[in-house]
Amino acid sequence: MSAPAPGERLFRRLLRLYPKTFRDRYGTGMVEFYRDRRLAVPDRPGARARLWLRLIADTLLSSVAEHLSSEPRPVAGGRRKDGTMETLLQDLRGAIRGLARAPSFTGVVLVTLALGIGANAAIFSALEAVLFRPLPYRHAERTMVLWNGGSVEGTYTAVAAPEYFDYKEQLETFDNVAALRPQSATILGAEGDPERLSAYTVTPNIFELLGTESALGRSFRTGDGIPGGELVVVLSDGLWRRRFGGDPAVIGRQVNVAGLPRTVIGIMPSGVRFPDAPLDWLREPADLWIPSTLEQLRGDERGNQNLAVLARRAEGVSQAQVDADLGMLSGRFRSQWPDRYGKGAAQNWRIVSFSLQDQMVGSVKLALFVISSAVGVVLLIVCVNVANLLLARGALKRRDVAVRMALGAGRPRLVRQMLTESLVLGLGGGGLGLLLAWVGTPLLVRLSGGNIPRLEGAGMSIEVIGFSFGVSLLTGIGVGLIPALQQSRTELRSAMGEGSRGASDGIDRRRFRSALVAAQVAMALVILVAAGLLGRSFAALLKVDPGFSPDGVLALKLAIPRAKYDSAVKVISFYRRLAEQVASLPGVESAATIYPLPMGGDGWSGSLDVEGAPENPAPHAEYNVTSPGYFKTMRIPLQAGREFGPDDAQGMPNVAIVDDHFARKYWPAESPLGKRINVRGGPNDWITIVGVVGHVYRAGRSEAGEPQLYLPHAQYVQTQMVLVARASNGNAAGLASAVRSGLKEIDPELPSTRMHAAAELADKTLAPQRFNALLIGIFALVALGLASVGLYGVMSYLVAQRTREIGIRLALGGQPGDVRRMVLRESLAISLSGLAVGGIVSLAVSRLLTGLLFGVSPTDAATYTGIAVLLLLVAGIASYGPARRATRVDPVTALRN
Amino acid sequence: MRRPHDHLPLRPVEALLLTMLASGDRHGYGLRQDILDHTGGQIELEPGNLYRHIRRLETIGALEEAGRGTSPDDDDRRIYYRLTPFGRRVLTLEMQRLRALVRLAEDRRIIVPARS
Repeated sequence: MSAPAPGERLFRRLLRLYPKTFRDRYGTGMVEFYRDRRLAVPDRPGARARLWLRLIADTLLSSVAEHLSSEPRPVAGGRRKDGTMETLLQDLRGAIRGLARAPSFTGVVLVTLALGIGANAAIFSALEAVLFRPLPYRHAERTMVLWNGGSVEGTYTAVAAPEYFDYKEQLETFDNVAALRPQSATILGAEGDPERLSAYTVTPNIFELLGTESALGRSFRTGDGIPGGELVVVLSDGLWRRRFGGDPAVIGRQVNVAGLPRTVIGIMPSGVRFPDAPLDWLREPADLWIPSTLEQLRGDERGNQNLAVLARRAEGVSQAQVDADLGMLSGRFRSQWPDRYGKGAAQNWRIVSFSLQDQMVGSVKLALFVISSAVGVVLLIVCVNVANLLLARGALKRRDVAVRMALGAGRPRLVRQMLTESLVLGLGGGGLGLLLAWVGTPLLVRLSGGNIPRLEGAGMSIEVIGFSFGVSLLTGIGVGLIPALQQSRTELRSAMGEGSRGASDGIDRRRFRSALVAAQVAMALVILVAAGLLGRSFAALLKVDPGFSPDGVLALKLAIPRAKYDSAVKVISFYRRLAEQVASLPGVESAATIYPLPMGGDGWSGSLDVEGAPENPAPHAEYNVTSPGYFKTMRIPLQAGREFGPDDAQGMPNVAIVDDHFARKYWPAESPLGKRINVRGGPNDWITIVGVVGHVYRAGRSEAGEPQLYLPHAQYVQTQMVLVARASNGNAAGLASAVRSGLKEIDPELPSTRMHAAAELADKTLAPQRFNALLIGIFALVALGLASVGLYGVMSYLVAQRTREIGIRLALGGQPGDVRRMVLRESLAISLSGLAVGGIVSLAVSRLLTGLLFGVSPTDAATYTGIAVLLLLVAGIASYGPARRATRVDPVTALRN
Repeated sequence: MRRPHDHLPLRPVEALLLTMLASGDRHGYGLRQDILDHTGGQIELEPGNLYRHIRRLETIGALEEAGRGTSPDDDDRRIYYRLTPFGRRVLTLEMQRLRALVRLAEDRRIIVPARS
């Protein structure tokens, strides 16, 4: 018989919660029930989560009820009386009854544990979805992504078609190599409005390489995508349902995509949208795929690098062999084309490879690691708090324990009883925590703003439930062990003899509890420092002047079909007319076109020649193509020379504008006006610089980026542009419908779906930092709250313990102020030792944060001091109450007792 | 041995369970599905809850294991339950009790009498 599925294993484990007799009798039937039930549940995460939530809730409620039930159970043949089991049940019943008798204690502990475990479960569900869950492709494990390595370690660029063919034909450690590139495409047809889609041109072997088949019809096969062959297309499940209502008859039909009619041959399964998560600049999940063998590009320029390449490692090949293979081909490239590979800027060039999974989620690993560490520390603080509460409760129960020991209960039994109680608390808190995570995870996904790849898959899963169960068990044992061991050591005579005076703990125990709280302060400091550093980074980012003003600007991304706009003149005149039309709309202050939009998600850079500058390293710059009026629209300051005008057209002298970084880099001492550059490389392609503008942060505020270069669209034609329009009243959204109808007048077939307020797009570039800072900030506040509660509790306890001592002091003429100071001093000593330890730990671990910080050092003194002062203040407030209470001790009462 | 009416009134779910068994033996999941169908999806039993009821009914002798399914073709080897003669009497008495209650409600015009 094969091993049961993970779900069934979990269910079987759940069954152990029932009394043994019940389980023996009905376990088999319940497992059969589970199998049928599981089969009937659709394979959606939501449905599965619901099933498990129901099953777990059902098991918890029924098993507890069954344990407490006094009704007789039917006796199966040959029932043995299981001594251990009986004791365990007794302990369990005792624990539940005992906890029910102290509802406020139980409530506080359960809520605290639920917070800690719930936060961990929610973050774990994110980790699971992003990092652990395999990609939905059979061969994902063996799939690698290949790039051209850049001059700086860790940088890389796309691959040119001839390079792809060399990889495919010459690499020996891969059994399949495919290429893809984004293709902007609009779909037209009677079934709906024109819609701009995320399409990819792919080599027809791509799905076979990944290991996935079509759900309907067929996916690509050899013979598809050959130049001059039949034009075909494969749709994603989402597009098929959205646009074609999930009609299977769409197979074989022609749809107009990217300007040409193409036959739909297949629909992929719903999970497949390759690239599902960003492959560097291939950001959007696909709506459809268009096949191309790329044969027509075999003889293309090697500088025309616009492909992403996937390669599948052959079975049984090691990473070392792959590296050697790539190294060999790199060497061959270098000797064959020394100018391109291996000289100057390309000195460190080589073919680099990443695993597909790393490529897709590698960028968020650090942030997730930091967040999960923080949440782990929060759980530790929770544990300390609960352990302290249990210790306090233990002190109250000391006489009870002593009586039981006197009546002959052995120490192991007592330890077990107490452990059972903390386990019940752990599991109860875990159950509540799971509910919390169930509610919290969607919020987490929303908070991330779509910036963490694959996070939308986060939610309840068997893994998350199992994880929470494990954490709850560990927590239950962890928080219970110390009090249980301490308590059972209670000496009979002293506990009983102390009678009604109340148990006064030994010095050891007091020290121990103080140390626990000091540890809490230390842990809180570590999280608070992390939060402080991330918060300061975020503030520093906000202060960066991006060099342009996106507020009040509406942006419309467009890509016009080459099939319809088949000449430069048509493309130029379309965009000119559009900008003019929109600029003349009421409410529009100015309008222009640009590519790429700053902070709009796209980038474009390349090398060029600068007259008089050395060829090595080759000058490199961020490119922009724009129309007259752009700098005014985006409020980018013109520092010298002039803007582009209507005369900068085809047939006129070629002109360019550079930014101040460019000017300073190549002509530090002179004016760049009148200097020449060459981007196309031909002897007659020299371009004269006519203006200098301010630098713009194009990729986001955290990166200044390279020097920048602007070319007039009328002289550097391309079909993909972004229309920008500034609203005269500052309200970008108010322009939307006017701009939409303006576009419709010029070309009713163009979709206006990619319309955004530029400020929103710019804001999105801050989302990862905001997510990190906010999340760690929330955890830090929780940590601070928990630590102060812990401190308050322990100080109250210490004061209560010393009531007699304080009474004597007061009776002998001690001043209330002295007593108050004594208590505060003690609290200060605890906090300071915590701060010292926490400070050292923070200094040691904050370096790990470096990759997430901006404009602040991981050892930033101001942050450390500020946080330490904050913690001391909170500690002072937390111990002020107990200190005051100490001064109100009535000497007479204290002494009489 | 206790008499049938010592077990009245039955819990609503238990009355439902016995009613489903009255028309033939069922396994646990089958009982769940039957009850789902006959209550318009209102009562959705999960295993713990269901088997606790089965445990109670088995303890009072109202149902018993009917052995495993032996249908050779569909590999159905699940545990089936059967209504005992005693269980049938308990169910009958419970239904009569309910009928009396309904009659009373009709007389008092709490509900409109059903046409029969």
